Amino acid sequence: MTLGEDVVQLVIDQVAEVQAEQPDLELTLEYTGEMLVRGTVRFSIDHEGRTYRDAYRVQIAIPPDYPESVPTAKETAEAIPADFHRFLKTGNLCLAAPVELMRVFAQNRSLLHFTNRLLIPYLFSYTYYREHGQLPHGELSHGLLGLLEYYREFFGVGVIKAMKLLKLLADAFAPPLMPCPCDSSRTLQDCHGPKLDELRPLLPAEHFEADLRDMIAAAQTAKLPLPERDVMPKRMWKNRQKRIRKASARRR
Amino acid sequence: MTGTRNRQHVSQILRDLAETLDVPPSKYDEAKQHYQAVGDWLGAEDSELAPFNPEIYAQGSFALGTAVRPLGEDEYDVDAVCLLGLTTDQVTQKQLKEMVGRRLKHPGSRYKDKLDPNGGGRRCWTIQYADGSKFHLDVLPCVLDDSRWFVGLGIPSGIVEHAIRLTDKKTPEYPTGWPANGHDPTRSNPKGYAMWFKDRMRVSLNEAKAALAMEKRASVEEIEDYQVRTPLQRAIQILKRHRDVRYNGDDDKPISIIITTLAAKAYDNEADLYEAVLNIVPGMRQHIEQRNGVWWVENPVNPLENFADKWQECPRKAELFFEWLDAVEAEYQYIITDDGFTKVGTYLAESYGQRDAKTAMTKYASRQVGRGDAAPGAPVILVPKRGNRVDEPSYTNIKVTEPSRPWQA
Repeated sequence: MTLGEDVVQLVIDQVAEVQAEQPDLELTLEYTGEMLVRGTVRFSIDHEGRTYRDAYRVQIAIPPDYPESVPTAKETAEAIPADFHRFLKTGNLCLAAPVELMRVFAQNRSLLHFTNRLLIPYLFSYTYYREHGQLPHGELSHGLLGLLEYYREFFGVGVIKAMKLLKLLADAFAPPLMPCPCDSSRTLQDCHGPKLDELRPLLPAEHFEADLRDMIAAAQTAKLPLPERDVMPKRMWKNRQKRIRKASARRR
Repeated sequence: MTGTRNRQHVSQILRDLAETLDVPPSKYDEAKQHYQAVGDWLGAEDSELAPFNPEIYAQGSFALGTAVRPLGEDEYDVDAVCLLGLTTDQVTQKQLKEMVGRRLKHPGSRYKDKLDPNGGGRRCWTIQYADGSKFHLDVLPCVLDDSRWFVGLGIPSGIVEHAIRLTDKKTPEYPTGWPANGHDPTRSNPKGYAMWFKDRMRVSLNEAKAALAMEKRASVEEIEDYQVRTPLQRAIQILKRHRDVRYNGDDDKPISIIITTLAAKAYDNEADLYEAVLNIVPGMRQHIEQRNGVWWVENPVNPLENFADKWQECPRKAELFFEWLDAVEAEYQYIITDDGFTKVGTYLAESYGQRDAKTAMTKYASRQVGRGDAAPGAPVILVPKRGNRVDEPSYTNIKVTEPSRPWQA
């Protein structure tokens, strides 16, 4: 696909904006047709009474459907080891959980926001880790568990309630006047509705459904009792009912 | 081979650049409406010029399709010939100039307050349009050159028949008549020159029109010359803007008529723009002659006219011209090397101005993004580094609020 002139223009202007703070970055067009922002990022961050200064060589890739999708970033001088929050296949930095990445980027779809709000905090967390052996703001567990942590924290609820809320996103069905699944005895619109509204536009319902299905599978393996009807995505629940009916018909 | 690949890409970038430099079709239409309106006013029934059927047509870069958008505060400068059905026996230069002037200053004329200067220029009446349009029209009163004195000089009669005499306040004969035979500043042939110019690019003009006809699914007869641009026209636009940026404000800078003439002489109907520029520039040098120690750039429709006649009294003009050709040639050889290609955006910005370079690079990039080449090649820098201080680079202070925690699949 090709980007419109207006998008290329946007990227060029946004790089110029980032350069006001990061003059050692440049924008290139690679022979592969990829647009990359690369060079050195320098930052100084005050944390717990200390100032941390550091510099990293990075490469930010502009996705083909920018600014719809979030850019991806690599560290190019091998200063950050491969086992520190990186995607194995691509080597891209895992800046945050996918939904969180979308959520933060959607606040302001610019490279400056991406750099200051996602990339630099990530780089800083490694600078801090190198010295202290732990991350300044903690980290999410790997894989599914991390996602579950993310949703629990985002909604401020426990595991089952987080899954119930996720189901509303997976089904793309959340009537404002229904009782909120968090048992607050308030309606959705007066309780977790706005939080759902924040996540809903970020990713397709299928993405939330896939996350939820993974969580259910994990819970079932762990033999956790689940209120199946309230956590299973609609399609999953229907298929399950069908299977049960067939099984009981055979028994008769 | 990356040289070939870079060459193809540079050609595309140059096309984008030339398109950016080009005068938009709306300005061509505006120009045409303006000079036709002047023609209508001059030839109106109650005009003293009506018996002489004034005919008005564009000359210069607007007629040749080589005009470029003005830089900065400059204006569009359109030259229009105003041909009256009179002969040099019937009017003096002064009478001819003033006949046209009187009509333009007529109390009922919409041009009466737009003439700048009010007394007219050396050869023309300049109409200054309203501020917003950034536009002025030079109207050159003239009559047909009836002397046919250079038929014997080998110029085809189809071209000679368009020769004209225009008025020039600086000739001693201005109040009393016209200079005698031989070349003098009142002789000109813009229509003949345009015919010669088109003939120099006949092959590529026909190709460009055929291509546009196919694209529009129209018959090639319906396509007008002004709707297309050949590599020659593009190359001239690029060379003119390069000159404008390099010698901004210098009175001795290379003049457009010399650039246009030499480029057209050197052009060999190259289909590729980069190829055209790279061949034209050395060819231009070869078409500058020395006749008895005098630099000579012959007017192709009047062998007695030397476009470089000022180089004699002002050798700096010649020096700048040659220096400029060398610079252009060196630059064009450099930008297809891997190193040069990577920096082509910076080079364009330096040579053609930030604004147009940026537009051209954006056009190029938006076509190229997501497409890519099969074979590896040099990247192109779209936004160069601003550069930090090496000794004391600055570290931007960032406040981390609401941090997102890293996660791993």
